[in-house]
Amino acid sequence: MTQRHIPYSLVDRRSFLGRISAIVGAGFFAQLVLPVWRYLFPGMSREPDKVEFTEDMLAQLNALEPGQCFRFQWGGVPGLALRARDGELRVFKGVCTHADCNVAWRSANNDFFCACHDGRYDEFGKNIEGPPPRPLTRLFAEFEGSLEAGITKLTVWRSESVRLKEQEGA
Amino acid sequence: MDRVEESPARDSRKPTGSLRFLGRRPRWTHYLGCTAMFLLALQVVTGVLLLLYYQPNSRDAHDSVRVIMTDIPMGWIIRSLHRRCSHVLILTVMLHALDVLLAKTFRRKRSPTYYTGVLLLFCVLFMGFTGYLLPWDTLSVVATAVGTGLPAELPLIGPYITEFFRGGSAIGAQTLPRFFALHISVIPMTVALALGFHIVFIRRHGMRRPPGPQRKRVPLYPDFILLQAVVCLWVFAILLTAAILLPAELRPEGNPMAPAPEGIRPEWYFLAAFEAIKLSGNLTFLSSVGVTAELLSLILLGGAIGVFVLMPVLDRKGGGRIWRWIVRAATVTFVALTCYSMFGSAPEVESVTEVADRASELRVRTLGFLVPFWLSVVTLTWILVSQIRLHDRITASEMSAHRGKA
Repeated sequence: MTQRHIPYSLVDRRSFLGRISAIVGAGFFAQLVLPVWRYLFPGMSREPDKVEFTEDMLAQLNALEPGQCFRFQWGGVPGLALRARDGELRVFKGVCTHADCNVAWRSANNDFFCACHDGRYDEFGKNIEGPPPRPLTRLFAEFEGSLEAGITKLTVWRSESVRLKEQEGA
Repeated sequence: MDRVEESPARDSRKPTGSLRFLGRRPRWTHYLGCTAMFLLALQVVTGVLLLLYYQPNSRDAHDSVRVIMTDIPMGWIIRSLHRRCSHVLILTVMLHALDVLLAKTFRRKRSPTYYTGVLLLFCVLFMGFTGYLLPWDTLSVVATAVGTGLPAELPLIGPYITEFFRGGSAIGAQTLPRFFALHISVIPMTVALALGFHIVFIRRHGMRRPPGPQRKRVPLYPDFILLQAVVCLWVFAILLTAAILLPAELRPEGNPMAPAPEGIRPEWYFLAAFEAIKLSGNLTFLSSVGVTAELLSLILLGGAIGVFVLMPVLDRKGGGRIWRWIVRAATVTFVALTCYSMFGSAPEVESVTEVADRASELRVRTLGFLVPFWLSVVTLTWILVSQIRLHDRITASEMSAHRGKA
């Protein structure tokens, strides 16, 4: 095999160094982007997995008449614990599925009402009027005692599967 | 393309109209100004990031800083960086000013550059003073009470200055928003304006040429810019490493009603003034003449600041060496007073253990980051330096080719 000597370089040193420094410089800055990114998105107001009711909250919940609703803090949004007229305790995320407005329970109409665009949900959280595309997000309530005799312990879970997963983990 | 050539008709004795060096490779002091600008930019970035979580009221301020230090991902690094960087920035600006004073580059038409520079130095110091209060911890509340109390001794306007900064007769909840507004809005805007003029004046009136023979031309790019980049890179790398290895601490929440802690003293850049005020308190014989110790120290400090500001007026061409010696003496006094005060007494205030524990826990986890980080810093340095070397060689060969033609 004959060796052929090229008397010049295809890439001169100056442009080679320029390109290399651009690449390494980009790598240098890329290392700094991730920490700043994590600082900007700390994930603090992420939706919680569960909320445990305190004594004070339980007392207010037990004081409800049928057809009344208790508002509590579910992460950064309101949660709605409804003592329905059929005797069941149903817990919803109190945010309209249409445009993220907070909904209100109207005891007189027996519905959840969103004032932003006149959306209505029935007492099961089903969307029955207006723009809401989906029913209200249902949360999973795990409690001891009964509504009549008084609830002694209440844990609200994001969903039943979250509860099962946590119980398996524990 | 050809960055080396310049119009040969240009008189090399005149300062050039742009940021271009003629003569020898610049000395290390030439890099101070640009480094300070880089550090200022770093302060802006970290400061804006801190603003995202900081709560500027005396009730929540301390707790929000605790949250930044313990709960927010990377928050402890950002705050430590901001704090460490403030010290280095002030030191850099001070050295820059000292360099200018000794080299006497403030004369005649360059005096506007000097005046804007003086304003920038005061702004940076003031930034340090106002930022110190923001975590609202034990030391900062007391230090601010002392600092804002100083101007009260001035005749006529003194009490008004004190009350303006305190927002009342004493430090309290109303003081913090004032310092916050000054720290993040008023002073930064002043700095931006002054820095803009500073740079415009430098471009208009030229930079000082490094001493030595003027035969070889050293262009701004790549020699100055790339070396400056290397300097900034290393300053940043060292700062970040320091922020990780020595995280900023957080002292317990401050209370304006609490007694001053033992051995209280300000940050190092105010130590000399602090010590001068303390020492002048010993000159009791003057009080019989009607000069109180506080007024005397204010006269001394005011005099020193006045001389510093008016240097271009005082030291005109042919002024001799006397001013250079005065600057040297003042520098030695400043350093001596600072050291004397630093080794004299230290405030014994423990930091919040929760923050310290969390920081040392996080520090161990971050050590793995430092290895690739420093590798990239060293590689980048090597590449940048070889770029400069390569350019030097090309310049040399082109120059010899020119000489051959002639």
